[in-house]
Amino acid sequence: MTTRDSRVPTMEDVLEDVTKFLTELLADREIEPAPVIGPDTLLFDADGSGAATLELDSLDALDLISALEGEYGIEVPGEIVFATIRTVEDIAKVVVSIVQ
Amino acid sequence: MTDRILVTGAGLETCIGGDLTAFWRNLVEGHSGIRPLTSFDTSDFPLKIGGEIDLDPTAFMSRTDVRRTCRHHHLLMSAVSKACERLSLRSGDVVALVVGSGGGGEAAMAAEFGKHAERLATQGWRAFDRLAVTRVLPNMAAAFVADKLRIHGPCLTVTTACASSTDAVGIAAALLRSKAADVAIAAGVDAWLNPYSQGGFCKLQAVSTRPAAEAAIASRPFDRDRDGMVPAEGAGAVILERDSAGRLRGEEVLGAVLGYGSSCDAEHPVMPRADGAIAAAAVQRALAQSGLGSDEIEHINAHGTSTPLNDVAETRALKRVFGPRCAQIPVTANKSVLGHASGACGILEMIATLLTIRAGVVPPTVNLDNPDPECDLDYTPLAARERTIRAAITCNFGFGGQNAALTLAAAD
Repeated sequence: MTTRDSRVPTMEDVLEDVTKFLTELLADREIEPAPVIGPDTLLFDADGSGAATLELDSLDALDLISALEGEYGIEVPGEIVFATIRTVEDIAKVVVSIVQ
Repeated sequence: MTDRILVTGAGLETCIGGDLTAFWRNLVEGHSGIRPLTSFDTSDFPLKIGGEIDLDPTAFMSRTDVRRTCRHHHLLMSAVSKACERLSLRSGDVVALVVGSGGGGEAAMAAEFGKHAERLATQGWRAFDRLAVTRVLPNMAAAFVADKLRIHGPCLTVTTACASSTDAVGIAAALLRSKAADVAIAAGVDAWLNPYSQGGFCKLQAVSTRPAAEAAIASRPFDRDRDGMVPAEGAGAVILERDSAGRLRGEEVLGAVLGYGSSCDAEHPVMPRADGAIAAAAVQRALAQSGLGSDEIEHINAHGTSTPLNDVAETRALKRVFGPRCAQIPVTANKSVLGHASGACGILEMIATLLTIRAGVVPPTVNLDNPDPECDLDYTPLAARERTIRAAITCNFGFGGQNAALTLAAAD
């Protein structure tokens, strides 16, 4: 994550941070070919739509949330994490809504 | 005599080297690994020095794993991985992992507190990150290593202060003898060079307060001018196998564990029992299990912490066990160059003892310029000495009156 100035982060800022974190996380797994991460990329399980999924597990989710909480000084309610977040964009929206 | 347990691999991370060759060379040549501390700001601390390790965990762990764990895990992972480099398992082998640590997750907890100290004041418990528990529970370092190395046998964490990894070896040996495992990895780790862990020991006045310029001469076991232990971080691991299992397939055997003994002073939380009687019992039990007589021990690797109390109590304990002959047994105190790696000291000193037996050279106790009159054994002062050794004792004594000892012997 990058250290930002004191301005309220935008959706683009958070998307960039999430993408960077996930890129580094997946780089360690040496997946070939490297997955393309976009706003619509599914984080966890496939939903039958054919959209790419990163297949993160629960520990990965906690790791990601923890990093975002640390970066933005927020607390993401636990019930939101697993109930409503499906895509990269979903997690960014949650963070932005809490921060703003 | 109990089934011999053979040591078929070893790995370590210490302030005097991360491989057996450098470790042994620096022990024998008396090159201290104690330096001015850089892990944290000591300007406000009475403690200025310690044994730090230059370790880049990304060299052997993924960045994700490094982030999700802490230095405690990193050191252990390195030592165990090195010990396992030549480990060859048979199909169906049950592998056990027993890790000794004086602080367990305490140092990790202290590091977490340090990381979040400012936010803790304003946010309270919410300041901890969601993975804090996976770092600070005492068992998690062993569990992490077991995960990475696919160890599915008993996975235990032992915490008996400075005796932890000596106890870990004893318990691992017992698992082998009971056939609960086919191979056992015994290890020790402590990464306690942080202001919160060391603050507590400073409050107890247990550490040396020598200035940074005296780092290399501060750890002075059995010396009249010793003023406390010098903390160090460290990790070590050994591979243990039953001799009777006939597993040897040309692997190099470093030595044998013939016996293990443990006892508890049950007297005081931090001060050893002054007469050394119960500490002596641990040594006597290690001898009894080995089947050897005290007259067959030709070397003692002492706990030798450089504290005013331990060194005297230990001397008395050894005299109880070995009688008048004790004065003829060469003793060494590795902490004079290694510093005190807390729960990891036992495994490191066990490895040192095995190397001593194999090489026929007793490393010196450095900085022993003026022996305390109450410490009147032959601690091999200042210079290494050649000596044929067939069997030796290594012993460790920790806070809480925790005592442990091993009887070690040559491979053949």
